Amino acid sequence: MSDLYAALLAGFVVCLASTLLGARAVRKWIEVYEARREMRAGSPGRMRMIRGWSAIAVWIGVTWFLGSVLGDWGSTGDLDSALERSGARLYVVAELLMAFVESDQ
Amino acid sequence: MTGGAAPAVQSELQCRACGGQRVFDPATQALRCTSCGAAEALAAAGEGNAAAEWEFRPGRPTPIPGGEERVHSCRTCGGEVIFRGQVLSRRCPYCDGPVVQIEQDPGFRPMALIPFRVASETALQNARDWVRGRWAVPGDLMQAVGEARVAGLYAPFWTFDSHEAVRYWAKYRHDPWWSDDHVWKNITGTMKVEFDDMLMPASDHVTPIIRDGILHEFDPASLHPADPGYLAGFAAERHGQSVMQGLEANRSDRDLLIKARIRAHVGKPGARVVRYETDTSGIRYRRLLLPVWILHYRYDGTPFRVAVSGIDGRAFGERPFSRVKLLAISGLLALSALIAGAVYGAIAAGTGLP
Repeated sequence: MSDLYAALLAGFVVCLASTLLGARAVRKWIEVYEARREMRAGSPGRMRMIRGWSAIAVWIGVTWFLGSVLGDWGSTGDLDSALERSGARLYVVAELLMAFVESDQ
Repeated sequence: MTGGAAPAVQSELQCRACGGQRVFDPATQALRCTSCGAAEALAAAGEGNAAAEWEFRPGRPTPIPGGEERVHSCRTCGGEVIFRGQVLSRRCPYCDGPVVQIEQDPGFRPMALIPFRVASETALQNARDWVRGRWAVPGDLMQAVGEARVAGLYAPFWTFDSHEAVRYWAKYRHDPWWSDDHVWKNITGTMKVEFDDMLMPASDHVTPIIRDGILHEFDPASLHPADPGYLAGFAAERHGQSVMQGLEANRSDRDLLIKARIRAHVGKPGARVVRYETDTSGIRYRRLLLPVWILHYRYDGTPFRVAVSGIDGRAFGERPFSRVKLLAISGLLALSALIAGAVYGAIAAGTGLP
């Protein structure tokens, strides 16, 4: 039971940190949304405004990954095994995010 | 620094019937007398070869823009009308009569313009609607915007055409994304890029971002001769830069577009342009004035502007963000991602998913 509480507490800390760090990404999200809707397609200004959108994917991806470790830990009560199982997941998430970052030019 | 006398058009802008002041009326596209209402049609689109482009010859001496004060003695009231910096058209501060300066240097004279078609009331409404439609703006922003007024300005723009013979060096990831080895494949290629009527602002009032927000379609067929009558009653700014300086300002836009075309030419996701060389030829240009309504406002001590196209009323601009609202949205999204991850993690623990 104490592991579940510890996982919930860690989840609260991660959520708080992600909220604070994510404000910038949310601002970018809004700018990208507005640029895609309102700026001339294919224009340099639109390209400049959209550039950097991968920060949103990185923020969401990292938060989701940390949540998955905490979910595993909370349900099994075994942090070491949860971290071990998250290795392959981390690799997949990192590769996906890398692909997003590479296509963000 | 006070310069010499400013040759200006003023008598021609006065009403032939009653001698009153005439201003350009966007609704009727005519010069209208503010006293008796008499209207006079101005040169139509396409007249006087307004859409003509000029060939850029790099060897020509570059004229230097004059930024000094020029003084005009108002022919209606005798008051001093001072043109500072790049101001081309303004109203007399004493009698409010429109005065349009005649640009002496042909190297800076506007070649054509598109007249205002959108009235100030519509522009103000569109600017306010644009701000109202933003996400995560401070709650009291509309109060600041509500106090602001729009000002009509003929802003200086360039159009540039060019042919680019491009040779590029690029690279892309050759391996599948799940592979352990990241192999980059180098590629070189050649391609031709044609730029036609690239619009470039020549004024600090319109940034390239705002340009791409409000000027979606540029049709050279709608260009009119730069008749001073169109400027009557509106502020106008002349080109404060030579063609060479305009081309230099356009360089970063051109670079961005060429790189995007190279990536499309490579045709691989995530392709990176290492470098490119381009042989530019056939540079042609126009010096234009385009109509823009600008709403300036301040929020929390910071100046912002919203521009509205005087052609079709499209609005775009700058705005502040509410930190509290950004944090609230961020918190919701972070919580959603965290819960989705936790659910996945709990399922993965029991099923052996990665």
